[in-house]
Amino acid sequence: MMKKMHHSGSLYRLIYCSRNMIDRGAPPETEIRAILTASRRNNKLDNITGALLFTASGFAQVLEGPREVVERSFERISGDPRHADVTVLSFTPTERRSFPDWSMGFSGQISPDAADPLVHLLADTTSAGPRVTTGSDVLHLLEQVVQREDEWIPA
Amino acid sequence: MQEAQAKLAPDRLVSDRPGFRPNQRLSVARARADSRLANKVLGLLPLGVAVIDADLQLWFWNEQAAGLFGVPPQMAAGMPPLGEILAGIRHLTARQRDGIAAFAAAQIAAGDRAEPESCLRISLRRDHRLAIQIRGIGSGRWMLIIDDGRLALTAGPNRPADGGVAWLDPLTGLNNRRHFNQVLRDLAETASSGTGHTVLTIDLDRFKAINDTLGHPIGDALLCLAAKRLRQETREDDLLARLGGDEFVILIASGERAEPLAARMIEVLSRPFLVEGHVANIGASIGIAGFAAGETSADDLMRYAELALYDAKSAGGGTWRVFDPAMAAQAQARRELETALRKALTMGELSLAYQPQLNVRTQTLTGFEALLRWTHPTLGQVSPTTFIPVAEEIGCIVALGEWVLKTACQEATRWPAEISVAVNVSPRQLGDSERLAAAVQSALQSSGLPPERLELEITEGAMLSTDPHVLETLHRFRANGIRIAMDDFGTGYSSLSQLRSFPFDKIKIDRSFVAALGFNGEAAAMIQAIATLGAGLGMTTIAEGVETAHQAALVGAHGCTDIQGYLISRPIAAAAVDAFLSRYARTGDKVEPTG
Repeated sequence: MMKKMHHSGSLYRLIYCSRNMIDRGAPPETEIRAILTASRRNNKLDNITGALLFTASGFAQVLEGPREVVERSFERISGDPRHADVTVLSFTPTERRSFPDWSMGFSGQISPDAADPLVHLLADTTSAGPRVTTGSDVLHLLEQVVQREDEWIPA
Repeated sequence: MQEAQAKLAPDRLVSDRPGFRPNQRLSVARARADSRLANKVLGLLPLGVAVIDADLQLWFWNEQAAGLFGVPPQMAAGMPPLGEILAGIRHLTARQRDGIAAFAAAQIAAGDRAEPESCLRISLRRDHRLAIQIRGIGSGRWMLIIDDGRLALTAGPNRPADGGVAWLDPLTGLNNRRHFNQVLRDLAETASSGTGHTVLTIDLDRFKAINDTLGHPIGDALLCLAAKRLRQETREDDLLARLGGDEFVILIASGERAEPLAARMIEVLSRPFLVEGHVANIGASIGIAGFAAGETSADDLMRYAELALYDAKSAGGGTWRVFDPAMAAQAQARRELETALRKALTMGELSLAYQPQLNVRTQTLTGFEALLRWTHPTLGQVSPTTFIPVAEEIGCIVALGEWVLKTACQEATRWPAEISVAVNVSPRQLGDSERLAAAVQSALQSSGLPPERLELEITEGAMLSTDPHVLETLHRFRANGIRIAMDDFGTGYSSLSQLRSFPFDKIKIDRSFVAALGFNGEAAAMIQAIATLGAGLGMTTIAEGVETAHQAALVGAHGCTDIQGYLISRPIAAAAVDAFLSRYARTGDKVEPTG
């Protein structure tokens, strides 16, 4: 158990994944743009950065920022009806941000042919067995695939 | 104050100004403008203002006063007596209604002696609290100042001036138990309005573990977050309260909503929480009970909801149960069983039965397992599968276990020196390893039984105890010559890792494997694997529940060293052990495993 007391403002990194509940009828890109626009607005004010991976099966997100702000953001995010089965993969203090340059990165489906990288991850977190996917796996995945949000939403 | 009054009474303003008659028209116009201005100002104030007289007749109120009280618009337009207004407020309980009227009457009666800062605070529904002050404004009129928290009145110390009590839970800001009970009682008194109202008691799953491992400050922060999530799921008319600890309650007006709401509450509380740098995964169990008109008291309703909650918890948590009268009957039977069980020891209703254990190769009896029996004067023989879990839960298993140890050691001294006795040790006993060590020592000392003839059977669950001294104590027992057996092997989650954590003397292969022999090949493979494992680790392997000679032959062939079960004998009374031993010595060859 971690006994160290971390200041409420010290830098933390949260990594979670969740199941995509967005209605198949709605064009996902519109929804994602809406999510990104809202989070960019919120996160700039809060000094939060991170990355969001969105696929047909679900979301994986990294959020980095002052501990209290990350906790508060998560309370808001976890209640969003657009996703379910929210699973925290890691929540730890960190020395530096992995995604310092943009308020929210985003990667769509990597390519139409590529396998959905979140399918096995989500299957993992809902089965009773030991988790083979760790937060750092997801972090690496996101580092590889995220693009600048500017490419998605005009500033 | 005089000025304000003057503006409200334009007639007097004009008549008080002799010599201005030529300009009367202007003055009246001016006064009307003043009056409109005053009304406008009062209308813009962020608080309710009402003027009443000594008969509690209303003379004036601004829109906010009507709004804060939740008075219907048609009534707000008139100037009804205060009593009528209060009667029209939906969320006001009878007691609160009387309280406001009494407060107003008392302040008015006190006249100049009235404490101007005296303030009545009431809670109408969730997040909706009012503070009311009454001040004399002369001419037999009084002004009510009604604040919903935007000014300082409700924000002040939570100290109602009406002699009542605080209604807020200081930690979460929800209503507290006392206020909740008050509302429920008021509701129960008016049978017609109570009908359909339903109570959901919500208990957090695994909260205690969080509190114990991460500490109370983090536990408290978690409760606040949980309260916030619950509040987000409630409607305006719902009454949400914290009953204390990790238990919450919500009162809703319609029973139809109860189950969907319960499902939703469990869902939101099962989402992870981030608390002060930690991740907490909890959950919730919910009990639901509804009012039946004129039949259910508030206390009954809460008891029913608690019973349903208990049922949900017993089912493993993470679910809800609706109260069913059968639950009350079960609870009653259970309470009677508990009471009887607590007395069983002192009433001498307990005894031990012994089931023999046989070495397959030598065909010799090696020992007996001591099994607890309870014969109640009216209930008769109560099955251990019924009373042992109850004893575990209410904690008297520790005293029972100590009695078994003492009695078994004593009775075993009458057996031949090569025959040992096996005694079951409950997880609860192992959880207090110091007390267990003392009990074992005392049982051996008082009986004079050599420690080599005592075997302690421990389940896997007991090995998961949080007491760090458990392993240390078990090692000490072994160092003294006492043997340690792992009971019910193969039924838990982590059998193999448990074997690594301690050098057991014996593995007891669960009866389910033996029962499955001949029906599925897996059972045979498992028994063989366990026996091989035991041989490799230098442990005895005993198969439990052996009922037929065929099973005995199979487990022997698969490598088990010992067997126990009906094939050899059912558990026998202490007094019959001698007779069994001598009979067995004569006819023992009949349990030849190959036969």
